Amino acid sequence: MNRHNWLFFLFTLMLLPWAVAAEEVAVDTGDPETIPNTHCLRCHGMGTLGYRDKLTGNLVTLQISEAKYNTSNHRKLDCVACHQGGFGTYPHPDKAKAEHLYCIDCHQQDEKIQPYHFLKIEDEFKRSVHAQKHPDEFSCFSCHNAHKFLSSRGVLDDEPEVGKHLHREVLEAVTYANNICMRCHDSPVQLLGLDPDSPPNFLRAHDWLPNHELHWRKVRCIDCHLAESDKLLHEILPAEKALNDCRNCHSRNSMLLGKLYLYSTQQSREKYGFVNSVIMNDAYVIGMTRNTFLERISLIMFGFTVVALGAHGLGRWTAFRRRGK
Amino acid sequence: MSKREFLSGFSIRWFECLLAVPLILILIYQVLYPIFFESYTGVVNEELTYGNSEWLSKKEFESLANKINYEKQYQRAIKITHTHDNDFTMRLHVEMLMNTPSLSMDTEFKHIQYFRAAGTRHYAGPSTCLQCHEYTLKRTGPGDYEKVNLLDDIVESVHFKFQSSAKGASTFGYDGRQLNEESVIPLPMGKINRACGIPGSFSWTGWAELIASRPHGENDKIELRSEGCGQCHIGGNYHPATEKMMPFGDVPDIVKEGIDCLICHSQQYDLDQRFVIRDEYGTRWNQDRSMRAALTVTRPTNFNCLLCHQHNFGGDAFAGNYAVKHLGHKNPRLLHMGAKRGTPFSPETDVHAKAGLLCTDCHVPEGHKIPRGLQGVDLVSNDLPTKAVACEGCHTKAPHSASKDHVMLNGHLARVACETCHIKVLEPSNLVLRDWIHPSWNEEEGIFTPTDIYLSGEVGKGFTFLWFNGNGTFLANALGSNPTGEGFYAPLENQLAILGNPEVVAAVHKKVEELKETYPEIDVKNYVRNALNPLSQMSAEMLELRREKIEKFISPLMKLGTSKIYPFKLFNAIMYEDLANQGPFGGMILPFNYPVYYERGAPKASVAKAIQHPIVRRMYETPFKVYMMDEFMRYFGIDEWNAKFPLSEDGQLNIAPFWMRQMGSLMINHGIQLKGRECRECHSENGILDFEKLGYSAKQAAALRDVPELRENKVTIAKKQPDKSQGNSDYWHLNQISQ
Repeated sequence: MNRHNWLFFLFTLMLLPWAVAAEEVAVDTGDPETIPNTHCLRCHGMGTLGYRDKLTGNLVTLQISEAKYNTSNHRKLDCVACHQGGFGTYPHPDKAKAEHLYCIDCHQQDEKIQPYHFLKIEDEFKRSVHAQKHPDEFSCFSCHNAHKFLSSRGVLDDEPEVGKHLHREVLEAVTYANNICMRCHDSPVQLLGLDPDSPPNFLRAHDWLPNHELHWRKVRCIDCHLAESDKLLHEILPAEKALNDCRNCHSRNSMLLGKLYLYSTQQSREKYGFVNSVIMNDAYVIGMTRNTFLERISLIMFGFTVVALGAHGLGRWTAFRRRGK
Repeated sequence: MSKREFLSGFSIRWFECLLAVPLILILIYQVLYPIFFESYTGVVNEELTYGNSEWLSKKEFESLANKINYEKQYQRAIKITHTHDNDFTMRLHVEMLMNTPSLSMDTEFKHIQYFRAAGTRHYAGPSTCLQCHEYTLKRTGPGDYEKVNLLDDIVESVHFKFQSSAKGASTFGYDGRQLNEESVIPLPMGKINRACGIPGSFSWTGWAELIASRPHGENDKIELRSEGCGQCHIGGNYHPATEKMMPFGDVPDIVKEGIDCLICHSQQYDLDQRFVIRDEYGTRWNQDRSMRAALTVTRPTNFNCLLCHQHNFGGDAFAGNYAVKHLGHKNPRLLHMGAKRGTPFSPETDVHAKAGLLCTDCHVPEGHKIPRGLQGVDLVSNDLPTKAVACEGCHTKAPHSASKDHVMLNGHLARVACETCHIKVLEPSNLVLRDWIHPSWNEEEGIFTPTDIYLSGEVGKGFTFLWFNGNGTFLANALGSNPTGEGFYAPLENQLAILGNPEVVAAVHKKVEELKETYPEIDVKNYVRNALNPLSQMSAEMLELRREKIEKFISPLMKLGTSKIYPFKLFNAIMYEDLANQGPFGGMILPFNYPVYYERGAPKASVAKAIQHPIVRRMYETPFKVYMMDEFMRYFGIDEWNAKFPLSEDGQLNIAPFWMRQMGSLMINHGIQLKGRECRECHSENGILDFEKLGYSAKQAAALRDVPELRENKVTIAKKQPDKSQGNSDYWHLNQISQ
């Protein structure tokens, strides 16, 4: 893998990059009877297909957005490639609904997927706070939706139409990534289900952080809640280990340059050249986005202004004295 | 004169002038304008008095209070003890409860204590209420309250003025414009002035009328009956709130004293007091201003709302309608037998009423303004057009949990409204076609009434299903479009223009044959064709113009927002139209004068009389043309108002009878049944939904009729398409049949 692709991949912030080539992966069980996706989507395409969960009372949606599936990495797969075992009848038998799917089952053997380090990601995930605290409740699907997600590179290069929208803007990426976290952390009901005694309260936990709203909008949760060296983005740190020194970001060698802005800086460097990229990329972070050349010029201009004011004052004072005489 | 003297003289003069200008303006506005207004519109404003507004002595007050409390406590005791099998033990139990202090303490009407403390032993109307309730806290959101002047709040409400010129209404003109969205002079619209074929009149010409009926034959003695729009409106004056129709001016204070607070707030309001009274200034509606009514005020309950609104839901023919059992001690009100909606709100017919819900649980008021919801297809005005009243408010987006198909049922909500499955039938008295041109003699009432050509509450007859995005046209046609249909969806040419059900055709044919016995000039075939396909009344050019307007203005509106399939009650009427103001969707219908119509059965003479009302004459003059009528006509699909008065000097009427060019479709939302429809009631060969008319292609419709999951054996594995060469991705180009 060359450096370019590596960086490109890192910008795939929010999703498990999961490459699929239909020809290789398509399940051929030898069963002559398979179900076309159109058949499933007659019902699962309904916008409001869902129910209220018996335990939590939460709304669980069973809708598959056809548009999003069609642009997702899995778009070439039949539904029954993953969902096997009796989904051909209505209502679906309980046995079928109790299926347990696991990403690695399909992906560990596939050469095309090697660059994505699925096994390493799995290791990271197992060390993350979520898997450590609640090993039974968390899986890949707790955060990632297999029916929507996208890879940002590689396998889609042959289909520019599909790949186009993957080059997300930074802010869009932030919203996307934070929504994944907030789906649970903003919902007391969800968290109570996991931790009835001490549900995490993210507002209280971030009391120390000035200007909350701005931070939520401009930085991803994982920018602080991952070790700086974590390039696979899956070892989510517990609160006490997360970064909480403002200078990590608000400094010249901002950590964000290696994380959130990694891709965009690299892109703008290609576009504008090394010097301009610092000024012209979209990022503005206090302390990080500095230009010493501008700083110096303004200092000189300030100096000139002071000197000019002094000279003017001096002139008037001497003129006054002369007239007085 | 020195410079200083001149300046002071000058400024004093200016000061006087400045003071005089507002005084003159106030004089004009307060004194001259009302005089001018009354002479211009021909309306009367006088002090309003009511015979039953009596003074009680202290003793009488206490005796009445005791009686009221005793009755209420007794009713509660009966309710508690109704499980007894034995009458005697029940009686003893009631006796015990009647002597239980805690029961009497929380049974008492609170205002009995308030009135006793304040020494109020006479109910004079709003002035009595306002002594304590000058201001009210208006709830504007959860935990948010705003202090408002109560009288202003009610005077500005639809219940008083029954019109609104607020933006955000869900009504669109046939010229494609949303009502009042871009208007420089907003058009006040509502029941006060809208075209409607059910009452046949409009509020000025039919406000409070006394009808001389002859129930015992033509030559027998006359019985006076009450009729008019004012019976259901809270203003007690001689005319609707006409002042509020003008760009400025307010209702006089003496008229505000006529507002009937008690009909909405009193739990013992005597509806027998609602009848027309005639005094030296004209006719108006009486109200119950007794102390009994005043002492029993609370927040409005269903009893209060349904005093008037059951008329719109269940209709007067509905057995559970309380109001029709109390038609008036004097001049009893006339009944209206064809129901407007046929969806009664009563414990027997509506699951929410059965559950004891209050109207205001869903229609949560803000002060005296009551929301109707975001959607609406009629022109009835809406005080709070941006406030939702919706099933989801309580039932969430996944309302089904009990059925084995609950997930699938929830899935349907993306395309199908709750009402579509949970209102299965309307009352049989549901009025579909009404003929105002050929009145029939009503033996029982002793009057001529319009002939109801067709009544039905059944699917495909009295009501149909349409795509609906929440908006309606100026003549109450639901707007919407099929989001996935590959067929042709055109309700203005189909469901709303043609009633083709063979049973309907046969029934209408039979009714018209009957009518022909009284009116031999009727050409039955022609009549039935026009009634069931009103487009057949139009010339080829007009039809072409209609098609163009639909394509240019209506089609884009139909694609707005999200559409779902909703049930709609259908209605059309044949009435007289002003021949100078006709357009591709209908003409300006003209009102009937009730006494002439009911007493003589003379529709034409009735129109001639009604249009001579000063306010109708004003409609045909330039100021009204500019202020209101031109704009009204543009919404109506007609370029401008032709102000030629339809009655010429020599008595010639420039009018002719027409059915509206398409049926009106009224939303139905009450009469909800707990158990909805079964899958097969739609997904089968003879299902209630006509999928082709709803805009699905033949292929889509066939797939919707024959759903594999509903087949007998229920095994539904479909064979994969044999043509593998096209690759998997081709599934996505196949014809998708999304529900």
